[in-house]
Amino acid sequence: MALLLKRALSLLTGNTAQPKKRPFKEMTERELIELESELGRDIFGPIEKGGRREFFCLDKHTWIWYEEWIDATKAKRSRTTRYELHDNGIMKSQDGTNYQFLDGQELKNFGVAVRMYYERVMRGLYKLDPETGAPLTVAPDTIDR
Amino acid sequence: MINDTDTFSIPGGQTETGQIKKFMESDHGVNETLEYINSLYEKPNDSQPEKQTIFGSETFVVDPFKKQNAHIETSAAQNEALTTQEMRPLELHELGEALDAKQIIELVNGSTARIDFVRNAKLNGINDPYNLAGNQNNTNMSVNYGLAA
Repeated sequence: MALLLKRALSLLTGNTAQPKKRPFKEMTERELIELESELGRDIFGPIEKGGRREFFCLDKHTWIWYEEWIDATKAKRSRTTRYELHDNGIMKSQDGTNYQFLDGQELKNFGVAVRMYYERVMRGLYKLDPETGAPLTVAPDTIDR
Repeated sequence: MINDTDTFSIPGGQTETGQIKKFMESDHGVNETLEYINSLYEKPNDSQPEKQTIFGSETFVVDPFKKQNAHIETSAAQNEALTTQEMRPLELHELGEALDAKQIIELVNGSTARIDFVRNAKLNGINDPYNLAGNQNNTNMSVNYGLAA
């Protein structure tokens, strides 16, 4: 009954505003990470035909770069590179082996990639100003006639 | 084709074949992304008041995006007495050159922590993760990760 009255009132007054959708609320962490990765995967340029790339922040200590490609023999290959943040540096491992700390140009490149990812997901996905954390300004709704 | 040098490059001179390096040198990937990011800051609806930094007789206008970078070069300018022409805002891809290893690690740590923080806030249905509105219900999520005052 209350709903009926509310609808009737909205028709009478012309106020048909709908409650704002909250698209993130029902999402799982995995789904959010997948959305982030969509923004992160092309930081390094286009993906080759038949290939696949994921680049994302897994948690507050870990970054993942997954690359899948077709080699010269037409065989599908893949590599997972993991970056772990430690107080004394960033540890890199590939396919669970070859642990080493990043340094030199590789560290600089990783820093740039992380910064770009941060800028992209804060603006493109979470709609926050990456510098201040303030919600980005949204253009006012328009009325379709 | 991907090989060992196609991740973030291997230290010791093999950077030339790394993907990032290649895309930085071309007009694809990184540069396009930089242009895209910069274009976002040019939208009128998204503008914030520009800040001015006065250096001697020179005035530099700093946009919010480059505030941090400008701060870096401000310090550099004071220390090394750079000329006016050299005191331009640093581009994103120049960050790596401007920061030492410790600063890069701090930047990575800070960015990662903020992403994790915002993501978890969204998972909990909090639309103002930094509690800018001063909502007491968000107090637990209002940890300051080094945001500008």
